[in-house]
Amino acid sequence: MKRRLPLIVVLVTAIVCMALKFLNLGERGTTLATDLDTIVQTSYLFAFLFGPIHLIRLHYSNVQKRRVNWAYSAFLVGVCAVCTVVFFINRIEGPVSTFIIDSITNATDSAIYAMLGFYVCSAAYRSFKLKNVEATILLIAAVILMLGQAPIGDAIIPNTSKFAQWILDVPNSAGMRGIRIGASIGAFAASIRVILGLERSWTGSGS
Amino acid sequence: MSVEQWSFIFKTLSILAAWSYLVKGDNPVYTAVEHFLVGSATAYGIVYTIQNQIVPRIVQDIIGRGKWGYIFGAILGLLIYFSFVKGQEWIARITMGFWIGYGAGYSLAYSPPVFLTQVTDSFINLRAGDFAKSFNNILYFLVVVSTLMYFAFTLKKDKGVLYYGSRFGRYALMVAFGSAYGSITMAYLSLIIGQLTIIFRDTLHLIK
Repeated sequence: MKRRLPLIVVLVTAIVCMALKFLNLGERGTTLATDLDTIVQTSYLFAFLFGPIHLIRLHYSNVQKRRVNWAYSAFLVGVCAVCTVVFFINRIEGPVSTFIIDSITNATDSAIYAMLGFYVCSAAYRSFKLKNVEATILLIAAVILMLGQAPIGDAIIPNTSKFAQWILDVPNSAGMRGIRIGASIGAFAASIRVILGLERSWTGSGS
Repeated sequence: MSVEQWSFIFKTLSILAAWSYLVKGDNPVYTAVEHFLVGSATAYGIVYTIQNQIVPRIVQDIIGRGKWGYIFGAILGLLIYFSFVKGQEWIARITMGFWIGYGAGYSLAYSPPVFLTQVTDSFINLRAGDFAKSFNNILYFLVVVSTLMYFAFTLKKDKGVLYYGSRFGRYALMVAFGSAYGSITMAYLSLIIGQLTIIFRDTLHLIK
């Protein structure tokens, strides 16, 4: 029962979802499909605290057991509690909330994301060597694209931007389409395995 | 000093704190700002979901429009918290099963139109009139087919069309990955330039 019920739920939900699409139920079918979608969205909404609870439990336990860097965990829990109260009182679109989100949260988020740029450049410097044909093609395509998107590219070699655009439109687009078709076929196979109960690692019982 | 100026000062301090990682790895300033980010973003997520999504769903949809069926979704969502109750974790798997089943069913029912459009669109006119267009179309078709040949791992590709096709596919993929890499690098650079603009133009007024 404990192991089979979730698998039955998977099968029934998938069949209902597909039936609403494939059976010609007219206007009623469309309404039912929209309602099912809203029910799923509602279930996501009411499960939203799952992540925050996990996070707070983890950091609270770090503080309680005085693990390494527990002070940062205490700081995180404190910030989360204070910000939650402030955002509730001030509302999410209020001036104080906007100031905290725009000036600290979003700025830090963008800065950490932008920091990856430094690592991408340093990784490129270390790994872009003409080791074999594949690496050479990768290097040439990347260099042309970078030059093509910078104003200096056309100044060094005329029409670099046009060539870069051609690479994006033809070989890049075609290669990505091949990958997408392959991934879609893989997703199909995975979906069928899940519906038939062949893939059940998510239940904690292994395949 | 205006609120905007204070905002730029805080932005600059946040950027410098985050970038301090480049100088001294996992230093206290970086770790503190990183934990602030996680804490405040979590708080934002909680308040935003309650204020802008859950309350309207209950007030407008369930009570206002009488869509009582949505309560079924709410109960299913709440079942996930049983994973915190020792010995009753299996109840949370019912919700997981509902989500996974819907995802799998949705993928099988609604993905084919998107996926098949990509397949049919790949069979383009190889003699398109002018040479440049025909060349592009032929190359496009060859790249799609050879990429699929490369990903057909169950086939033996030691000789013949499959060998050369998958080899060409691998080179085509390198062009695609190289161009994607180049584009991403440029996107990161523009993001870095944006951050430097905040520091040097908006906060320090050193550039105009």
